[in-house]
Amino acid sequence: MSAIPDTARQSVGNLYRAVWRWHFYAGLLVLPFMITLSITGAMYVFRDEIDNWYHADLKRVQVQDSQRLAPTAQVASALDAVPGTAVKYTDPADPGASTEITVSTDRGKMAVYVNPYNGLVLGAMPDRSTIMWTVRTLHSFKYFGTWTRYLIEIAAGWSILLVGTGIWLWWPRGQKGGIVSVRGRPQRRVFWRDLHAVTGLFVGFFIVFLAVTGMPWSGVWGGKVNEWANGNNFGYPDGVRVNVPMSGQKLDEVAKAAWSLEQARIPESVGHGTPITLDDAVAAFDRLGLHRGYAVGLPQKPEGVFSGSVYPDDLSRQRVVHLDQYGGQPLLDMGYADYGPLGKWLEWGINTHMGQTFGVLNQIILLAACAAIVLLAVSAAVMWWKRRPSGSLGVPPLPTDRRVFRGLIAILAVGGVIFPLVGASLLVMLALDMAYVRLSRRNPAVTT
Amino acid sequence: MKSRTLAAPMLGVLFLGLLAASASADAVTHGDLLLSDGYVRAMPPDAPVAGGYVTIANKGSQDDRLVAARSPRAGAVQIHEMTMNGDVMKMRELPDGLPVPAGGSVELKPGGYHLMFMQVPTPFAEGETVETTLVFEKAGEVALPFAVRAMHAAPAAHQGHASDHSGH
Ligand SMILES: [Cu+2]
Repeated sequence: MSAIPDTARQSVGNLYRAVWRWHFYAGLLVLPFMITLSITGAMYVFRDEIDNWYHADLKRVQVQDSQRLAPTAQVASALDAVPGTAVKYTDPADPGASTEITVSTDRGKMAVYVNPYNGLVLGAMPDRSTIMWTVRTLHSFKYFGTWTRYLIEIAAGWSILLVGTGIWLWWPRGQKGGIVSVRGRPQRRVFWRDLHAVTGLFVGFFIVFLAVTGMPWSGVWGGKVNEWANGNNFGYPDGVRVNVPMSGQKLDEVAKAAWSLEQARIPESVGHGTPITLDDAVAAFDRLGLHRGYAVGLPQKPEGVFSGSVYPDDLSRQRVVHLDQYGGQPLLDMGYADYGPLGKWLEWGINTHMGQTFGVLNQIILLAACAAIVLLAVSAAVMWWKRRPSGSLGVPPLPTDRRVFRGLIAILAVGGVIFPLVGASLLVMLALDMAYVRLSRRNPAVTT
Repeated sequence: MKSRTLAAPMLGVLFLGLLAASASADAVTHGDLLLSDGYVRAMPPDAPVAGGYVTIANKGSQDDRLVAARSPRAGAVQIHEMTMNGDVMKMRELPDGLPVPAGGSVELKPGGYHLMFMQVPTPFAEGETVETTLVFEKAGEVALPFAVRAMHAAPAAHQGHASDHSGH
């Protein structure tokens, strides 16, 4: 710290230190999230494969030549084993799949699995309690409560900051390695620095992509955008979909809807008389060409509707159809093509985030990205450990010229306005950093 | 007139009494085996399958095994086991049947071992009896009537879960 280079060098050095310092802070905050998100995310990308294997007793059946039993028969069988009210019928997605019937009981919703060929109940478990549903709630941090979802929103913002500052730090400044190659041996810190920088270079795009496409699920930003995108029923002008009467029931309560349909409202049945049966409704959904594996929300009140919905890997086949429970005619029939441009972009992002858009390749790329992110986090930790002076946090040194912070702060301010929760966390961090600096001045022993 | 108006409900009571008598199937003894309290649950109109329950006591000194069952009212009758593991309920066929130990007894009841009547063309209605034949490895075939009881009169499988949950 005592050597004084010429002013030009010093200003680059100052900026380098400032960026490094924030890269360090961001890393410290985000590291545990990065690791848990990568591990749970990598698993969740293979959710169908894992659930079908782990819960094979419930989810898989022997393929038989015989016709499947009528949906009403399967529901009756489910209700005989688990008394309650059937609220959802999920069509088997392939010939080896069981039918899932969701039953509302006094102990909460149960998922009952029925063999569609012979009507035997294979078993039952609390709704959305499969291993992959648990992983999903861990990934979104819903598992730990509502407020943790705000944490993850902050973590997503900070991970973007990490990539930005990381690439700036990586930017070649005349060194002879550590650009796309790794120098040294694992004993030396430079090895870990290069490993971190080179991995980060390749995986940075995926971190930003996953952080951005993950945002729609987040508590504050996602909630707001969701509200706004759906404020006008996906922005459709009044009358395009006729004046369908709307009930107060939200689609998300009936079936797990695609994100941008989550806040959409369901039309009410207008007819009166004898309701159609589930068999009639399923026949109608088949006739309308819904992709296999669709869920049918069952009407729970006189003005309720049969809600068929499906969100297959093929984005273009996302579909929601509401049938009048008396006449059986579609009251609303919407697919991906009917979404507004924002909805289309968001759904594409979400679909890709979930590893569905490009089939197996999508899954493998995300798996590789997750592995690389874990490597990034580990190399960062090792690097810090090797540099860490004993008895201190090892925060990178403060720049001698504090003006360099201004540009950085300007960039952060823009991001902070777009993602308010991230912005707020940045301000808190800035305040903490200033306090830390002040404390260090008064008490030089704390200085790095 | 007065006596007639009284007679109607009395006839009803008598009728119900007869029904009750016919619905409680008698115990059947076959060699060392005592089969008692055989019943099935009435089926909702659309239901394709129904559970059957019976208590089998083995008074003899030789282990036996229930290996098969059949009924003219069902296309197939399977021997099943229902198990609870945490919150997860599973039902599976016992391919090797169900052992009935010497000097012991095995109870087929909701939430545990049971018979599964499959491919039932005419749903079981309350008050009927369903003729059923149980096949044992050593004792051979035993025919006994299964009474059809109200749909959820007996402790249902579901309530079996509930008691399991109380332990959590
Ligand atoms: Cu069974």
